[in-house]
Amino acid sequence: MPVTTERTTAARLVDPAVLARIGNLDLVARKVVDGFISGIHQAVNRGASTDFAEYRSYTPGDDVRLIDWRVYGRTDRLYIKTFEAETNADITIALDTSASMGFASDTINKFDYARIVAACLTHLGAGQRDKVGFAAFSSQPEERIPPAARHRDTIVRTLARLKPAGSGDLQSALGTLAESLGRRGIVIVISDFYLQPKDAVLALDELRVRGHDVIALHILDPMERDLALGGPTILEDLESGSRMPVSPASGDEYKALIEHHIDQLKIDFGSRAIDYSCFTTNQPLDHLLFQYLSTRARLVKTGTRS
Amino acid sequence: MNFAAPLMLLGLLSIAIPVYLHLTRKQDHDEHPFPSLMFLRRLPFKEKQQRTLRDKGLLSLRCIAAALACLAFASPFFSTIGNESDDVSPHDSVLLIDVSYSMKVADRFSKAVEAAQQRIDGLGRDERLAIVAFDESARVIHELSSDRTRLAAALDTVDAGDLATDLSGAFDSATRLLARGRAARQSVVLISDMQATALAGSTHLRMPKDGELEVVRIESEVPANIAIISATINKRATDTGEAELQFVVKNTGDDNATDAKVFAKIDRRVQDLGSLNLEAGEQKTLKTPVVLASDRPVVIELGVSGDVFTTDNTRHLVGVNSRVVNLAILEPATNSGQQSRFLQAALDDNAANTRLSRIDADALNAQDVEFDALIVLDGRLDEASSNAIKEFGARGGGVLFVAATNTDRNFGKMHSVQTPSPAAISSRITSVAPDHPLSMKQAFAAGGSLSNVSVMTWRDIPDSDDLRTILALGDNTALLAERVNAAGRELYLTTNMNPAWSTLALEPGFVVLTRQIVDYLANRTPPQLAVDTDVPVDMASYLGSLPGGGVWRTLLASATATVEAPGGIESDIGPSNTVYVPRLPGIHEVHATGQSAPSLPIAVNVRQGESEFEPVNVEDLRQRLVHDSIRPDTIDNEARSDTSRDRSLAWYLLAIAGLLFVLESIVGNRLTHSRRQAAVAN
Repeated sequence: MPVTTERTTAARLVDPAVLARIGNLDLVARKVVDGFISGIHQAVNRGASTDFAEYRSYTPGDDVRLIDWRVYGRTDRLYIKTFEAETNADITIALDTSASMGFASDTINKFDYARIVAACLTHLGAGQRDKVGFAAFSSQPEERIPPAARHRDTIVRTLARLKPAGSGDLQSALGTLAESLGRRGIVIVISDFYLQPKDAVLALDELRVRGHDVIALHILDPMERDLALGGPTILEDLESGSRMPVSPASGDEYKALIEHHIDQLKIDFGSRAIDYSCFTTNQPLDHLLFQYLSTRARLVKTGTRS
Repeated sequence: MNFAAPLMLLGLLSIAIPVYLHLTRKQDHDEHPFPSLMFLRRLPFKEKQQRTLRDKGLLSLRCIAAALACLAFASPFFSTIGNESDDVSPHDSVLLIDVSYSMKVADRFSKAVEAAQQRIDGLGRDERLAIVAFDESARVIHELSSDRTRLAAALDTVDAGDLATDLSGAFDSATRLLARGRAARQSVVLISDMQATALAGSTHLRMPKDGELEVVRIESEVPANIAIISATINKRATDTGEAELQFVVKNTGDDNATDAKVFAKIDRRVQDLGSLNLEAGEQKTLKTPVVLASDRPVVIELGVSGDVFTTDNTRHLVGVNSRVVNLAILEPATNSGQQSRFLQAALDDNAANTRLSRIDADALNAQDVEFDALIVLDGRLDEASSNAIKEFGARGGGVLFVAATNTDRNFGKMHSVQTPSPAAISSRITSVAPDHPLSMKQAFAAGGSLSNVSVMTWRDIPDSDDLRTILALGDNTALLAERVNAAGRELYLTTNMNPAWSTLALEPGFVVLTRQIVDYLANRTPPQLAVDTDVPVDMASYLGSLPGGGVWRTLLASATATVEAPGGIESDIGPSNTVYVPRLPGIHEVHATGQSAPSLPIAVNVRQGESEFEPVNVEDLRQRLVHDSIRPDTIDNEARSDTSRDRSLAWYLLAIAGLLFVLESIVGNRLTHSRRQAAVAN
């Protein structure tokens, strides 16, 4: 049936394994976002702007200034005139490009997953009439695109060009980024957060204390959360190059440590009002986008951002 | 089992390498990249060395493969020599038993076998005996052994054949066998009817130093035996192809032959030539007319029936009618005709197959040149005539320039050449190219002489790379030289036919030389009527000499052909090998493979002489013995090199080793892969 087909197509488009096989990042992002938007049937927010959206019946509690008296004069009924929301938020997507992001145990590595996420968020933000900016960082910000309404294509092209390399220094990089960001906005940090939770909090706190709403997206490979060693193995650190022989018994202890690390990040970020979500690269993208939109809506509703 | 290269066995030590590696190699750890080791820091894996043999199956594969490869390179071979010759016997004997055609006569062969069996039965405890059967070649039937049963069984496999006798190979084999045996006393026992042909091809016979020879002569009465001992074709007229088939039949037996039927089969048509009565030793020459076709060879078979010895009862011939050669003598108009007169006289005697024309050289042009060969006599030629001659030569014609070319006269040296007999020719007229068809010895083999010739070289032939001197005078001045001009041939004679300057034309040998030059220029090489068995034949040359066979010269340079022997046995000839060795008597047919060329016959006969039944004097044989001391190690080396039939064992071993290495590679990869899979389970 057509409905099923559409649903299936939309579902396939948010499957990271499928998206990884599509070379065109811009196309991927458009398809994901369009499919996602049509799925949730919520195109835009209504709010104060000069662009008329629709009429709706007056309900008690509505601002009486919004009643269209001319319509009342013609119809004897009270209607509220609604307008397209014009939030015009500044969104900066900060992407970790350190070598550890290049790890993959399956078809898609963390970096590809992260840049698809970044591209989707860029499209989504642009569709919301937000100003979207971008920063790629490892130990220092390497690419910097300031937030602007027309920077969507530039960001997508930059994302397509980037490759994971070098070692990461989140604290230093985000500190530099925080100094360069002018207007307060939303900063989305996409990283695998291989640093101590307190250091991670310190790094993101630099942004938060300057008035930004910070969203931390923690991207991990499924194997990073469920390391199972069949025999003696030597593991090589992708960033430092150091090698370590490990026994199968290490796997269980590793899993406990990484889960503890995630929990600690969640607690520490939560205590600083930093929105934190952890995703693995085998999770569909719509989960992540839902997470983003709900966070954004919450931020707008609670007025934590201007 | 022996080894041709025993040092290669040292390679077996290489088996220690995989054993050492499997014992000492550290446990194989698979390496994998990982994003961060920060949560693994406190859980190091302790490396430890493997103390026991690991992957025993893989180790076994590697060891077996290495061992087989070493064994293969050591070239093992099985030989009875090794086992039995290692123990030195006080007395070794080699029994040479004649299995040639003549041994079929009456009870000769059974007598020979009986004599051989007596030798085997009388073998002492410390004696060893080897058996060698021989005809045209020698075959070791059994190596040195004291096992009478095995020797007797080997003797049972021997039978007389249809080939002639040659003792040289038999004595050579005996000398080698005895040298391997290293016995203090060595002897050769020859059991043969001692045919005269046995010594025809050998000037000396090899014998071990201090070796003893005992000859057991097998004698018996020879019944009546009529053999065709020779056959030729004499042509009467070339134009009509009329010829006469002449052949000699002889009763080589000791009894009178009566009512032997003689027949000739010409192109499968049988002609009954009547019956013959021949007394012992009597021979008769028979003649019968035959017509030879001008466009194809005629297959002739001569036969005598009613004879128990059939091998010498048949002769095969391929009859070919010589084609007529159109020859032109070009002489400048300014000459008086003196030179051409001698040439004409020399060639007129052979007018049956040569059409001679005399042309005014100045009037020659390219369109007129429709001859097989030209003889250009000294004198001035205009440019058009010179070009016409060159063009004729390039198209494949033959040209003889007498006194070189026609430029200015340049008197050279006077040579006085005395040639009392063809054998002494080379002392005065040197045959620089002895293999050339026009070398003096070959030219005069057909008769003629140069008793006292004075030659003035009219012009020295320049020393050029493309000029090949065939005959030279005493001071190395070229007398006759050849240049290949595209498809044709040019000959240069440095003296003219004027008796005032050269007496060559006055000599009887001049006629022979002139005819052979004309035949050579016209590419009219007489084909062989027949060839003997086991004599190599250059098929390109042979087929090219047959009528209709010209295409074969070029065809065999690029394509293959099949020679079908009697009985349907096929052999391939081609660009890489145009030589064919016929093994069976009869008519062999040559067919082109995938090409348009006529199938041509080649007649093959057994060698004559074996049926003469003339025994050789034993003393003559003893005088030809050369006592030769052979070092045992030389013989060992020869034995190793003779083990080509056993080389297949080495190849088998090498193939198995190769398979094992492939298997080892697969197993090794599998093991590595499974370890990696197990190491990091996704």
